[in-house]
Amino acid sequence: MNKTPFTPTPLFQLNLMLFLTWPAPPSFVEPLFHREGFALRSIAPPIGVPLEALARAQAADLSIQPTASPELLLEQSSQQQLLLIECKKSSFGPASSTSKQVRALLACPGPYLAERIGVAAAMDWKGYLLYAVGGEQEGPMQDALQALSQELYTARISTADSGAMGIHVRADGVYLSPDASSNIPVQALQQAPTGGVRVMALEEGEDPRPLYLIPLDPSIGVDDPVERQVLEERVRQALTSLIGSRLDMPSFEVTMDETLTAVTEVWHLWEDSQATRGFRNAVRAYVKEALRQMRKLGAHIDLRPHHFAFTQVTPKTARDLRRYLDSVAFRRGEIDLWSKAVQLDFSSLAEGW
Amino acid sequence: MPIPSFRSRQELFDFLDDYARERKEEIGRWQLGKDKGLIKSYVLETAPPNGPAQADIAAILRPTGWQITPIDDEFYRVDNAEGKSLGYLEPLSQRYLILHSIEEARWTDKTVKGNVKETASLDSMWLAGAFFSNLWQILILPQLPERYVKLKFEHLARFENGAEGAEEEVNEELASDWTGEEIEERRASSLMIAERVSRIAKFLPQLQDLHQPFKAIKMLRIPSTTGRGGYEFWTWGKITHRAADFRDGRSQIFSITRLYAQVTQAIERIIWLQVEETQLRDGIDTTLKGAPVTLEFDPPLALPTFQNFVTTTFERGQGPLRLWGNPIYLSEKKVHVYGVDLHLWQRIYLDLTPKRFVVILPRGACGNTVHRLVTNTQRYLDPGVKTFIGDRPYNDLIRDTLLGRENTL
Repeated sequence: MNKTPFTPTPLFQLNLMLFLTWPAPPSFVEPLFHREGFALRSIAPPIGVPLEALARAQAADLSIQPTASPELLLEQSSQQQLLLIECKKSSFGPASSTSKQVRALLACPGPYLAERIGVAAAMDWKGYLLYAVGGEQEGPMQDALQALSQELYTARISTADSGAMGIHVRADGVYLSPDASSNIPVQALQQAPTGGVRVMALEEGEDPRPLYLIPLDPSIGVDDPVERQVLEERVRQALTSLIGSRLDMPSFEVTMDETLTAVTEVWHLWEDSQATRGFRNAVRAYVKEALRQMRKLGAHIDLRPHHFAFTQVTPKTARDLRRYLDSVAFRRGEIDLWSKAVQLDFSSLAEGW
Repeated sequence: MPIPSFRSRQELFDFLDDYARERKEEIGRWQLGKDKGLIKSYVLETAPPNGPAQADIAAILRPTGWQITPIDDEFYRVDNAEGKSLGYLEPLSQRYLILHSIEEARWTDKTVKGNVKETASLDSMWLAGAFFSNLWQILILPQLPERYVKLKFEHLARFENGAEGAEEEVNEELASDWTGEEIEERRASSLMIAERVSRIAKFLPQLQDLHQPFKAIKMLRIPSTTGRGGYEFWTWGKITHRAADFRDGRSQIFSITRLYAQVTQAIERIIWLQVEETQLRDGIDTTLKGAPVTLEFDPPLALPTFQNFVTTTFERGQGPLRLWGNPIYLSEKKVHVYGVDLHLWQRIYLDLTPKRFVVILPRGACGNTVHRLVTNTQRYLDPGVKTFIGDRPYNDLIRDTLLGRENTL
């Protein structure tokens, strides 16, 4: 049993926001974005800042990133509204590195965003940058957004509207509480009672975490022990399913990309990232060790640079391997994704695994 | 009995029609021969399209060891690995196979269940209480009010404190299948009703309100459209023919299976967790589509029942649901499992509390898993469970599909 008191993390916030864009019954969550017609348009979309905004920021001596990537981009076609959502634990100071990213996001107003994603009548679209932050951080975050918007305005840079809401985990539920001056274009949030809108009911002592649809975001990192365990189980699950479901075929292949995409569906967003290189190596090391055990059971496995191949799979081999995958030894076996030894282990690169 | 060989499906159908008529006459005289089983059909489901590549029937059946001999392009004689006749197989579509057999039910049931269990690309058709209820409400009640039907209900409180292992499942479908005798009432949670439709309609709703296990329908006999008797549809996709017309039974099986297929496709369309990509000027736009399946318990499961379910299913790797994974205990009343459905070895994500289970199925996982989960949850945990596909009640999805209101394209 996990006894550590829950502290909301950006990964928790991100996954909660995702569930709020999907249809669901209130017994699970109150998906307020979905109910108001917002659909998830994109995860971590790369957005290049308008060149004139970059030039004016430079002239005004403002630090700004040339591209930015909000965690989520939601689209509400009926109101021609785009909503960029960024999850943060807390607010930040105007001199912090985060402010460069925020300036970049603020410098992308609705029509510009709409044009880039290719919708019709882009000039009619509105944009809103929403920061989802930890409880009681919405006020400082709203202040920070206003200060940065003012800087950009002074530098003659067009900005998107922006605001902050706090994600408050209380004994009876998870609440979204917008800052009083935020004016977020979501009716349920505009009409929120004092204390916010409850989006998930909790019983006393119940943990608020939903399933982690996205268990990894390299820009956030994984420090929380439960989030680490989730990632470990996703790796074990991916390997078990990819091999177990194919053992009825006399021969089959499993690629590294398939494995990592089964670990997190949006893997390709980060596959080229420097930050995921260590993770890829660690998964590779784990898979290699599991395959070594399977070879001992008589499996014929060829290791290739980007995949491994099972050949000569007989019904008996299939039964034996499934028994192994279903065994306590495999299910409870340690998975090390975190030590430097596995993250920096390139010894298997020559043969791929 | 020795099975003659057939040169065409017409010859086979004529034989099975005659066979069904003889058995029906014997049942009418209470003289069903001990060596003459009723006709049984088993609906089997293969992997969904866009999942693992569709293979031909021989490849799908390879792990079962079944040997198939074509009678025509889409009809096969099936022998088991030892060469013993099992029956006749026909594909309804790329995804559904139907096996008809006149062999001893005890043996065919065991063979089909065992082989399906060991084959990741095969599953049974799972008919949950909500599915039967819709057939009852929409097809039978208004259309056949004066016919006799049979309903069997069964709920085994498998995970209640101390109940694990205490309940013995009695395979009454075998007894009834083989002897033609009526089933005795055993207890409130395992009961059969055989009565005129219009009469059952008067008391069934009250019965279900008073006692939730009457929502856990294990079998529904759908009347024949051409004569007396009917076809018993069991939760796990077995159909026992108790009418004198094989062709009529086959036609009903096809209709129900097509309906089931449409509901399954609708479920997959709504819930599959999948990435969708659009090429943009700046790069690729990636979005994540899907929706949860939510099974709601009202009242919530008792804490010991909930804990027993988690321990039995995941810690001990036992129990009827055949789910695999290491439970991540977030609190006393909340467990996450990033696991595998061992029927198909597909991934499944579970968020479990005594109030509700939330299930996420990645693309390629079979929508059949939802039907199976609901069926087994009704049977072993809570017969009154309410299921939502996204935000739509499962019951409504089945009803709308049956009435042609659901987009099935």
